[in-house]
Amino acid sequence: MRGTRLRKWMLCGLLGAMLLTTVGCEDRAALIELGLMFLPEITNYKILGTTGDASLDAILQAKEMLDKVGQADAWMDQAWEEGDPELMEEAIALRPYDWTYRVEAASMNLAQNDLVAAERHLTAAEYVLPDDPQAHADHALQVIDQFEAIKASGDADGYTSVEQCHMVHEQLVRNYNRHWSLTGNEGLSPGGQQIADDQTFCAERVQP
Amino acid sequence: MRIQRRRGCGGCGGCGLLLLVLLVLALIWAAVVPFRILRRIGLQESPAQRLLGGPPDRQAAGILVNELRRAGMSTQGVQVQVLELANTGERVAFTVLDASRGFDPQRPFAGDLGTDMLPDLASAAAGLDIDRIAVYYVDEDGVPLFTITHHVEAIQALERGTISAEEFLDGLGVDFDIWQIIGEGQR
Repeated sequence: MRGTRLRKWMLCGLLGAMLLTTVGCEDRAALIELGLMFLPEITNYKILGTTGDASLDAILQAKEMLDKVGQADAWMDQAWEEGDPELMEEAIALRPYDWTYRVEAASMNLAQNDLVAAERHLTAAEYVLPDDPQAHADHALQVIDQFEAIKASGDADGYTSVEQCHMVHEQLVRNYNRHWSLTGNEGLSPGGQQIADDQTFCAERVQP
Repeated sequence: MRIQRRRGCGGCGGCGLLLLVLLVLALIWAAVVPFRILRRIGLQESPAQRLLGGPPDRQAAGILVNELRRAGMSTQGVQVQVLELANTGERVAFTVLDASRGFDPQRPFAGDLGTDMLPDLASAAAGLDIDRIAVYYVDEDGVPLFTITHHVEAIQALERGTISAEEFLDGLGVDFDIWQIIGEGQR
């Protein structure tokens, strides 16, 4: 009897919430009942501040982190719209381990010809990358995607400086080759080789 | 004349000092554990900051949100994020149901078929290589009421009846604000 009730509970409170909430459990008394069922564990957690499992602690305390994701994403969108690298810095300060923000900031700084800031963000992005080949491949792809956009604009309208042109090309070559090797290929990537050849024309592509 | 040495309250020499030490220890504990002062002033990173700081999988989150919509759920006040735990590589689907932002806790699904859809949602999460589900409920005043989390595999196993409720409970993670829930119930 208790087992059936418990199972109903779980299906209601978890599967139910499986994504989404206490489906069909309109009565908050049900919530209180579940809370009381776990009272010893919850009390222990409140007193010690940990469940003893770092992953579980992180998940239970993630609400603030999720709010930060929403806020930082909104600031990044606004920063792109307004061309405001300072706002990107604020978003990065909220979530310093999110390397995708760093690559975006590097792209904006490079597009605005602030090569020092762009280099700083690229270095920081690689520093916070986890030791996971998939993350490294995703990072290389993001750099390729965003720097190709800068290259397309520079090729069409001219670069602000020769240094800007060189940095765009060098980063593209580097990341094409990284992605090439991270995806199990040997040697240099054909895409990277093409960009490397193209780099020799940088001096001719600077805006007058 | 005989002078008697004063011995403090109730004749216990170190009582005052002991009480003071206990009070200081209690204050330190309160500052560090429930109020997380060290984290607030930036001297200590929370486990969430340390382990969930990487980029979210926005594509997977978008797919889950679409699954919810297909299941007939209004996504008003619902926020879904998929993040990876840096220490284990587990992918976690975080769902915030925020009544203060329009989530309706009484009728999360438009029809009565919501419960029937749930196993499909579990499958969708599993199909996205998601290992865990975590649900946060925030009440109408913006106060977090409870958090509940479990492995997708365990949820599916319970649904199939291949594990017992007790086995299921072993891996369940919960955090409730009991007093707040009782308060809500009395409204």
